Amino acid sequence: MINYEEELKKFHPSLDVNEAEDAIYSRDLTDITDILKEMLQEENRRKQ
Amino acid sequence: MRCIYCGTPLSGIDYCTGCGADITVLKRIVRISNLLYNEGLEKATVRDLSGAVACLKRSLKFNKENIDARNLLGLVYFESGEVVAALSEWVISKNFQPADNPANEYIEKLQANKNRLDTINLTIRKYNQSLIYCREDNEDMAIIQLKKVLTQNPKLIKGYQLLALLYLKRREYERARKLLKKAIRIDATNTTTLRYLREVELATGITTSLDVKHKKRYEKGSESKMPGTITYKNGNEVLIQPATFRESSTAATFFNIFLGLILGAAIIWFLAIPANTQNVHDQINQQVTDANTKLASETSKVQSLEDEIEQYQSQVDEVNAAREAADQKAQGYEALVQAADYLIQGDQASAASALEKVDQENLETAAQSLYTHVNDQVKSVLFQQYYVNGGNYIVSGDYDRAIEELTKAVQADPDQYDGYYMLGMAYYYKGDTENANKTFQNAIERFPDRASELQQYISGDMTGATIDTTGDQTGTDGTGTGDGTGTDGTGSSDPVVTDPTGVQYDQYGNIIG
Repeated sequence: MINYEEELKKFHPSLDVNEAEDAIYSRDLTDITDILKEMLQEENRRKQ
Repeated sequence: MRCIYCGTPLSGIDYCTGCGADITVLKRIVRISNLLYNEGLEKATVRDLSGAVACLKRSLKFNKENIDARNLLGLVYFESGEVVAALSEWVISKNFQPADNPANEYIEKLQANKNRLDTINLTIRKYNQSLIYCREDNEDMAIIQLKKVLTQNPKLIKGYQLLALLYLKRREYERARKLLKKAIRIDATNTTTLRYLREVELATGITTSLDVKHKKRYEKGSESKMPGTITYKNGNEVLIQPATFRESSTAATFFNIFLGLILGAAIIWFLAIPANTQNVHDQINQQVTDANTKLASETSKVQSLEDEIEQYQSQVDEVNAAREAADQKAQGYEALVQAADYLIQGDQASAASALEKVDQENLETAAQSLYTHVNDQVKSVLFQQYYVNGGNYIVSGDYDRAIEELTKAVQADPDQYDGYYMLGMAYYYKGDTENANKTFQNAIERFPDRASELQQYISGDMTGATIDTTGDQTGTDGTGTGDGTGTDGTGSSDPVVTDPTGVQYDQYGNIIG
């Protein structure tokens, strides 16, 4: 049985066009390559 | 993609051409990303948009620069009504690869139609508003808004789901089912949609058919037949024979042209001319409306100007009244100053005359003080002046003017007993017993020690008082003598009044003899 209140909590407001710019800037675009690079840098720092 | 060690762009081989590092891991990452992209593409092709989104997001987690995956993700978002999310993906894609990128075309197409973009933006705002209404338990408003949203943006899956949820709450399962079926046609595997649909099925006990019904345009087995044609087969060939054969002659051609002209004229007469007439009428009506509007505006303007004029006129009247009051005040002050001047010069009579013109109520505090001072100085003179005039009028038989003068005398110096006495007598001789009694009564109240003299007058017994118009005033004893001889012209004409006790008074109220 669906609980209306609980279901309603799953809906979130959509971004309108004016907010798109902020949404793009705040996007987390980290991928596995970035993580690898970070790990390498960390490894290099440890070696030094 | 570039080498993570030195940043050199990767080639087809498994080591970096710049630093020689083993880049098989990177190659594998790219392959996984491409694999996920392919999977997402397959799912998008069969309208499994939710599955496609999941695959494409994973693909981008492996390789954020996978332009195809990002563009496809944007397209999937756009298809599910999430225009802003789609735009975001395309913008990021364009940022990674500015040239030779399909995202450029998508963005341009979207931005080219400003109205479409505004409409989408409006639907997003309405959807958000609906969500607020839902959270405020204002379901009716939410339903109205969501219906509008879905009319303008019929691909917004979230809108269908929210509206279906509202219908589920109201137990309007068929409506919910109808909406969910529409949502399923956009995104076939959306878990939320499927869950709601299952709820509908459980509640109604009816399985939802997701088959799309297509109307058959052509009946099966039917052949396109022209009316009146005869079809027959000759071996494998189908031959169609026209039912009739028409021969076109010159006369028929002209007749057809004539018929066409008539038809054209009829069309113009019945369609074009009424439309034109209607247009003219509309223009005339518009002009009349404009003129009426202008007239109403002008009338309103005139009315406001008239109101303004009335306002100014009332201001002018107020100013004039103030000016007149100021003039009167100034005259009063001038008379007061003049009275003071006469008083300083010792001319009390002129001072008294000047003081008469002063309206005491218009004076300020300092001027009041001056007035009181001058009045104190000249009130005896004023009293004498009014008293003498009143006495003369009594003697001459003009009792009205005598009353007027004596009233002034009483007002000028209320401490003079004689003023009251003479005023009472003037009333009596005039025959106004009531005012005479009132005046005597006032005198008794003011001069109680002389009440016995006046009491008899109040009773109406005035037999004891006489007035001698000749200047001699005789009392009851007839022995009184005046200081003038009256009308004989040999003496002064000052009036003499004798009271019942025989005491005679001159015009100044002084006892004679």
